Amino acid sequence: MRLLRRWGKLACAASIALSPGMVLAMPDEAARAVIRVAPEEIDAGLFFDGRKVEVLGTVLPGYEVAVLCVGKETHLALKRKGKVWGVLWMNVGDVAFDSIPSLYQLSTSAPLASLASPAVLQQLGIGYAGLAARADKGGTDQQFFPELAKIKEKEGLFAVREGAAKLLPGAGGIGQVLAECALPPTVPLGDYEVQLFGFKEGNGELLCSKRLDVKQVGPARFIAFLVEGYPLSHGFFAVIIAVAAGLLSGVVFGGFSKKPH
Amino acid sequence: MHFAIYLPVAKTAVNIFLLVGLGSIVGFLSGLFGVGGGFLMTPVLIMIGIPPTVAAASDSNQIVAASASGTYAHARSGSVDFKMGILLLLGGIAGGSAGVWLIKLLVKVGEANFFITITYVVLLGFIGTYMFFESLGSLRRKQRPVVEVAAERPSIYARFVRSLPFKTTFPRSSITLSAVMPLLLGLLVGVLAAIMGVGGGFIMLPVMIYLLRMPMHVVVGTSLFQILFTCMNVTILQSYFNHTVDLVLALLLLLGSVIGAQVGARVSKRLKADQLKILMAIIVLGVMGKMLLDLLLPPEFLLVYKGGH
Repeated sequence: MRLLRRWGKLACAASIALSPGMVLAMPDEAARAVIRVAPEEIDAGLFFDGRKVEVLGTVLPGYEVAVLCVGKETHLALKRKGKVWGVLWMNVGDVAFDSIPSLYQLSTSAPLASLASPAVLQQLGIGYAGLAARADKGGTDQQFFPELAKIKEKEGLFAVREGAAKLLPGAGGIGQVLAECALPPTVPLGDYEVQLFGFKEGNGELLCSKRLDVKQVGPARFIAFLVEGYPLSHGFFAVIIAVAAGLLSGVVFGGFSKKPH
Repeated sequence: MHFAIYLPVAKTAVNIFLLVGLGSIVGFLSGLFGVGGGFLMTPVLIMIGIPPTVAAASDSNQIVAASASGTYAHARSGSVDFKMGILLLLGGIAGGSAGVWLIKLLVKVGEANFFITITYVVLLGFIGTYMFFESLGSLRRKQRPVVEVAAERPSIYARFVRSLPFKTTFPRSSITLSAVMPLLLGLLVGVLAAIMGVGGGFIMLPVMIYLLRMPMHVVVGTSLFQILFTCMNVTILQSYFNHTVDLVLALLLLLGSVIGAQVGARVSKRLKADQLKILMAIIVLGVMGKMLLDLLLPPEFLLVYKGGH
């Protein structure tokens, strides 16, 4: 069954690669890899419930790969919890990170440790160790990064999946890359980048990247526009609707009752 | 997730039926006890993945609907003391502003969060325990209403209340006391509510019952009337200053809560005052117990986003 599913995925990748509009060019020495993402644009409407993004690629022979779906980096401020008087868990201090990406989903074709040395991975920002070093350059809050990663993983925004990127042999030894990014419904709107890293003989480099856009559409976009553009009117509108709904239910229920108490 | 809807301000998807169901439970409690239910709804919303600031603001909007529905139901049966409600509201608004200022001061001094939480737990524990045993004793003895029993004892508090100027009659509550009292108590509850970040419904209730000596059947409706205006103010301010009111979230919650509030108001009329007080005491003690557990048990994560509760 598993074998069938695997061959199914491979067939799917091949069919997408050969279909019009999704044709993947074969890599050459100048461009050692090519990737496509499907879809490139994601519409977050009223019924948006997250979305899986397929990443398809081809890479010259001899590479192991890492596929990274990454969002813009922002400053992040948090509170640290600790024990007060030895019994009570309270907020005991502030923690800040200079640059935390809004999304960080990494899939590799092999275990991280076998791709390159920790120093190379850290330099490329591959893996949590590298991310932690970038997040708080020279600061003392790096030690709290694993806890932040746990929160982000629970939110579905961070993931490190070793071995989840499939690297299948293609014609002429060209590797076929197949991976996915599972965008949760909490994914912030905006631009993302899907990056394909190649690792060979202990060295690693960014081979190519693609843009991915998540944007609000339909009524969700209209409401967000009202909230941002006309906050006071939106506030009054929200209150009027709530009062009207409350009174309407009162009238309906009151109408059904025989007489008021 | 099936039947999920994307919330444009919270920027996450949640099951529609979960929100409507949650709204109806909290609406029921609102109609039954005259509380806003923010103390219950906001933590649950945060638990299902709504950002804390959006959860608190959208909950205020939902409470507007539930309390409008509840106030209407209670007003029809003549159990809203509008005069008392307006005085409490005026005090509450002033107290709320003072509370916001006070919290800034406490933060500067340091360890504000610690003292706020401890104050909350101690206050809720005291109110809940007192209400529970007082009502239980009253139910057992099957004596005269608590209001009269308490009034017979001349205490320092009673003498203080009698000495205040601007005495006025509140016909709905059948009491005569100084107009300064509801203003002062409203102010006190407003300060506490602002510090603790809640609407203050379940601090206001014991204040009305034990300090203003209002009859139980008027307390619930009057509390809802006051909460209605407090939350209208909060919703508009949150929308204007923080852009955190999610209309889709609020609409789904209020769909359940307005119906729940009507059912709650009906059940409230059928229960005896002491039964209602005991149930209220259990809810207050439950909230206190939950807060105490949060303080004592190791948290799931040792970091929390700033702006959370």
